[in-house]
Amino acid sequence: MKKIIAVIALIIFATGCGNNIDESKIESFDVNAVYDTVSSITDGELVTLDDTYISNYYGIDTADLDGYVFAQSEDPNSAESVIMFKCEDDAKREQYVTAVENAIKQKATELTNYNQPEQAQLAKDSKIQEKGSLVYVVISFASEDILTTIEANL
Amino acid sequence: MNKRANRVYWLLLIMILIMGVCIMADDKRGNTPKDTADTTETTTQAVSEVSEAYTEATSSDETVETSTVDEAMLESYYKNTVFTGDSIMSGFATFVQNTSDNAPIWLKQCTFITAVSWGIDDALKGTGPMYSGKAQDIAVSLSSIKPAKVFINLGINEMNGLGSPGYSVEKLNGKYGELIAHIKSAVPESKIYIMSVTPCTAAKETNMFNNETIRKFNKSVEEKAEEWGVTYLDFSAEFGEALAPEYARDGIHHQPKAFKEIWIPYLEKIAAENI
Repeated sequence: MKKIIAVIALIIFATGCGNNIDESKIESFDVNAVYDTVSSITDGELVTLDDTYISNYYGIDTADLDGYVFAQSEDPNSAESVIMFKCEDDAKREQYVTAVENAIKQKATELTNYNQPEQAQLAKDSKIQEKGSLVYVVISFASEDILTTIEANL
Repeated sequence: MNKRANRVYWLLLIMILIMGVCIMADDKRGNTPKDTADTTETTTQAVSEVSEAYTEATSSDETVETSTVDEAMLESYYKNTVFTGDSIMSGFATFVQNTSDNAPIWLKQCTFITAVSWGIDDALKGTGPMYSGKAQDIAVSLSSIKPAKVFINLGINEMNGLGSPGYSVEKLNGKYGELIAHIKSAVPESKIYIMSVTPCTAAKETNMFNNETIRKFNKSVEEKAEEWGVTYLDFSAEFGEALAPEYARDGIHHQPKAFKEIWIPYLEKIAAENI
C-alpha cells in the first residue's frame, strides 16, 4: 500500500512541479531581454517593428500583450524574422497565432514569386512555438542557435 | 528495509506538502490584475519621446533639409493616409514603422499595405498583401480603412520584358486603369495618388529591364491620370535618369539613405504644395 502511495505521490510531484517550473519561467521570461541576446546571432541586422506596423500588418493590438518583439530584416528580399510575444488571453492568443501563420505563409509565397527560393524555404521551415502564454517563431539561417538561446531561458 | 520505506514515505509526504504551498503561491501571483492605465501612460510617454528624439535628430543632422511645413500641418495632411505598393514600398514601410526614430510621427501614423513581388496584375486579380492579419484584395483592405488619401507605387515587377511581343506598355497601362477603377469603386471618397516607378541603377539595366522602359511606362500613366481621376506624382524624377548606387540596396530597392534624403523630403514637398 505504502509503495502504491509513494509511486502516485512521485508522479503527482513530478508532474505538478514540472508545470510549476515552466509557468514561473514563462512568467519571468523577458522577451526584450532575450531578444537583446539573440539579436547578436541573427544572420543579418534586424529592426524591431512599432505598434502601428504590428497592428496594420498582423492585426495584433499590442495592448493585449504582456511583452513582445516583432523583428525583421530591413531588406525586402530577406525572410529573416524573430517574433516573440506573451498573451494571457487564450482566445486572443489563438487569433494572433493565426495572424502570424498567415503572415509566414504570405512571406513564403511572396519570396517564391520573387525568385528567392532559399528565403521562401526558411519561412516554410519555421514553426510557431506555444508555451503557455508565450508564442515565438524564428525564420533565419541561424534559427537553431536563436531557438537554443530562447529555450535556454525557459 | 522497513525503516527505509517509512523514511521514503514521509519524505514524499513532505514533498507533496511543499508542492501544495507552491501551487497556492503561484495562484496568488496569477490573480494579480494588470494595470492597464500604467501601460497606456507608458505608451503615450514612449510616443512623445520618439517625437522629441526625431525632432532632435533632424535638427542636429545637417544632411536633412529643414521642412518649410511644420509637423502639425504634415500630421494633418497625412492623417488617415495609406501607402501601398511592392517591395520598394515594403522597404520604406520597414524603415518608417520600426521602433527607432528614423521617421517623423506624421509618417509613422500612416498605414502601409505592401507585398514583395506584388504587381499591378496581382492587385487586379485580388492577390493582395497582408492587412490586419490576412492577405486579401487591396480594395477590401482599403474599404475597411476608408482612407482620405491613397499613395500607390506599383509596376517595377512588371517592367522586365515589357515591350516584348504580347506584353506591351499599353497592355500594362490598361490593367493599371482597371486596378484604379477597382480601387475607386471600393473607396470613392479617397484621393488617389500614383507615384511613378522609380529607376534602377545603370549597372542593373539589361535589354529586358531598363530605365527607358520604366520612363515609357511612367509617361503612359501620366497621360492617363486625368482620365482615371487620380493625381500622378513624378516621384521618379527625384532620382534622376538612374538610381544612384549610394541609394540602392541591390540596384532596385532603396537604402535608408534614399528614404531619409529623397522619400521623406518629397512627401513633405507634396504636402507643402497642396496645403
